Amino acid sequence: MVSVLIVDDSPVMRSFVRRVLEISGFEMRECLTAANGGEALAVLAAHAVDIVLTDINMPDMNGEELVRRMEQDEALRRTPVVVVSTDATPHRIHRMLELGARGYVVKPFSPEQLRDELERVLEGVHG
Amino acid sequence: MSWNGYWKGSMVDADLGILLTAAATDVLETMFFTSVAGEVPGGAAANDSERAVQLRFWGGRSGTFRLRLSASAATVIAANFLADAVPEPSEEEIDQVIREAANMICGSVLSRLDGESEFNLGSPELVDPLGAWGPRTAEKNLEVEGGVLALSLQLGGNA
Repeated sequence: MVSVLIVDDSPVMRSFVRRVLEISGFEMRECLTAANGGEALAVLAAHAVDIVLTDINMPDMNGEELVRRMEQDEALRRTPVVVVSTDATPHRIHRMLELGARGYVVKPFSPEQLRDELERVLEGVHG
Repeated sequence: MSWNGYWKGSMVDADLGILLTAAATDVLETMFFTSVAGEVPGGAAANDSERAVQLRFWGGRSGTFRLRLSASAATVIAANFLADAVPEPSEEEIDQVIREAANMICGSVLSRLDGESEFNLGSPELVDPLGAWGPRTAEKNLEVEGGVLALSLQLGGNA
């Protein structure tokens, strides 16, 4: 069972991602949420999570900065991040993976696509 | 200029229209569980009961994307997106869902339009559906459950 942190500035998108994970059969122990990168870092300081799903375009601190800061933090760099974004351009995907993200899911996505990417990333961490 | 760059630079409005339809259909069917019945020739006149969202984008391409749809279609799309989590979406939740739809359709259009260049999307903002929409590079009107979804794209130059 996995603890997930969903980071997105849209409350309805956070709710959607959570529901999609549930109906896909992805086994979650808990699902935490944050509205931007800064909130996500505050959640991560207080809770150990197994995986982070983050949008890129968010106010205050975007997903790119969140990934960068997690990579620079010894305590957080082993927590895998999966980016969930509308930007399907190879340059963006490559840059996010280079910054430290372990996975990338392009919107629109099916429940199975999201679940499979999370499971692939988690297998890489624990495998 | 490469052949690829030339082709993108000379993409005609009709091609962009096809791209708008493909992106909207993919996004609505995959994420909003809403099917697109087809294109509506000529579209429908705007009225003040509609919702309209606009967002700007920049990067490899810059411009403005706009989405407008009837109140009933907005309610259907929001209910489909939120499903059991929110059986009867509030006005605020409907607005949030429509903003998210605009964000995803615009992102999908830009990814298809120019797969080589990154782009940035501004925050989707609710705008007056009766307001002036200005010049459009491409537009499409699609029939969805509950009404018509009008999409328009205004492209500036490469950033």
